[in-house]
Amino acid sequence: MAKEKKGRKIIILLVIFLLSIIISFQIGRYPIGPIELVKILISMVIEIPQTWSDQAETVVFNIRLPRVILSFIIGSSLALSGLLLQQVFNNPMASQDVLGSSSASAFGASLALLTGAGYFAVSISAFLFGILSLLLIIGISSKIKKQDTLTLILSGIMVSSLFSSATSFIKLVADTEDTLPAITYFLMGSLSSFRSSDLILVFTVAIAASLPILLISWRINLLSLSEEEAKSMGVNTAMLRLASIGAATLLTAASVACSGQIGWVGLVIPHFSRMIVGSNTRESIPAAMLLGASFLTVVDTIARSISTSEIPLGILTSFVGAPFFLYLIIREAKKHEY
Amino acid sequence: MNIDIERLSFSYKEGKEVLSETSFSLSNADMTVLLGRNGAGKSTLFKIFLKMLSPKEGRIAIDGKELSSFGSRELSRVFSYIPQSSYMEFPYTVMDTLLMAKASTLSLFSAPKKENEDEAVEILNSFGIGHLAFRIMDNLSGGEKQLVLIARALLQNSAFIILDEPTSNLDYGNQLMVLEKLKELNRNGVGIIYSTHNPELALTYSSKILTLNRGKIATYSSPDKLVEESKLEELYGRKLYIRKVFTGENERYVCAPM
Repeated sequence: MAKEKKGRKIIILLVIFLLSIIISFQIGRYPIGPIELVKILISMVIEIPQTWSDQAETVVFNIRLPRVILSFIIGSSLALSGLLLQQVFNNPMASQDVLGSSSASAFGASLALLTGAGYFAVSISAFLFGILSLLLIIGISSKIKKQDTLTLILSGIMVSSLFSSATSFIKLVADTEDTLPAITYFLMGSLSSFRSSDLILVFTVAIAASLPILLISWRINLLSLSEEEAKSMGVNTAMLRLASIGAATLLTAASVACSGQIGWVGLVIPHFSRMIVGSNTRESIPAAMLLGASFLTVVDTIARSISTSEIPLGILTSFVGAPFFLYLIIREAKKHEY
Repeated sequence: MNIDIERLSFSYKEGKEVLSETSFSLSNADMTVLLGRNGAGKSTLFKIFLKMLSPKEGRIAIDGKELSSFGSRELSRVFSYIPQSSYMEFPYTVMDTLLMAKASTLSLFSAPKKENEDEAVEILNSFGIGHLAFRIMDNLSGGEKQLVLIARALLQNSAFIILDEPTSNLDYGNQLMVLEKLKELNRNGVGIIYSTHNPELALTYSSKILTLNRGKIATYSSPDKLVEESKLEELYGRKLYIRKVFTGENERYVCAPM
């Protein structure tokens, strides 16, 4: 009974995902009609007589397609990364933004940008600082006996502000003509300035980090058990934790390096995914990836079509994420009221 | 299955022993209760059983085999564990929670199968809570939650179930219900080891009582003998009025402060 319902819910999510992609292809500064779009896409596979302009074809293949692919890779990466962090810290308020790991990755990326390094170095640097921030969080929370949401959020604020200040320092020393605008715009989060070589790398990283997690998706549930319970069940949570933290950091770092800091997706999407399919990670992980992909694809469509100049994505996602975070804080507080 | 504990010592800090030269034996035929004042070493003992702490000295043998040589999967066949409070941050269903007990029998890449689910439903039905299978854990009453955790321990199929103060968060009716359930399981051959601060319940729902006093085994005996030798008074440093009463068909202990 419960299984059939879940199957249907995943199908609904798939439909939402496909719709978001179709909408994203159509809308933009050069609108393309739905029939025209279908024809152009079909012509990719089989040869059909051309009834559309060359310009439309260029827009679909060279502008929209890479952009749509990028937005769904990054959307699903950020959502999966957030969900993994929530499971690892056993805390629904955790995410790469709250824990400060995306600020740390952003700092790593800015540092690499300052030195004029390429995307690969930017990614590596983002990853290393992302890991460093999580180590800091784990170190701080292990020193404090009372492990609760407040401790986690406060340590996150501390780590986040540490790396934000470091990033500000980088901006201060950056060349105002060239590097500073690049870093500033990059930090706001955008999908507009990617290169196709970035696309391949971010795609590879996303697959390399997501695939193993999808394979062990049921086991991720076991992180919710207390250490004693897990131990008595013969489960090695240390390995599970390590794999999840590694994958989460890799996904965030690759996303940050490619598109800057797009906040809050990792906090908000896992909650919606759990609301729709339940907490079992075997279902909530694929659901979060699909939802994250759909969400960012839609947000990116809005970002590039709402005004003449593109709005950085980070700004739009914050409009959604910050109020949601407030809602979570109130809900958590109510849960612990007696 | 028998567990022999010989001259077990443990300390968190140098010179401050939580357990010292403790020896006793446990059998899965018994319902053993641990009594002791706060900080007497009850939880420490449980953690040593689960190999979360390793003893400084002494040995523990399970059917003659050293505990230290048990792998984690093998150990999950010996003990299952129910903590004092098991709170799930995420809204897991009863079924999700139960199936986690199957983790050690599943390969890394697989998830519980239909037969695991059927087994879980069977246990829930035998507990009379089959209707809760797809409810969210957090929405259950304290007593129902505790039953689900006991069902999870059964699903793990271990020889012993260890429970750290299983009745501490329950109302009186649920306390009795849970302990009666445990007694019934014990009659079916599941070893029960639990701790409590309620001597009356301990005397009624146990076949062996282990009292820990400053890390040393004060006594290890049947409830009757414990009462006979006034060991509870010794343990708590209080004069107690303990009498056996007949409640129709059962003998029960009542215990009141003097």
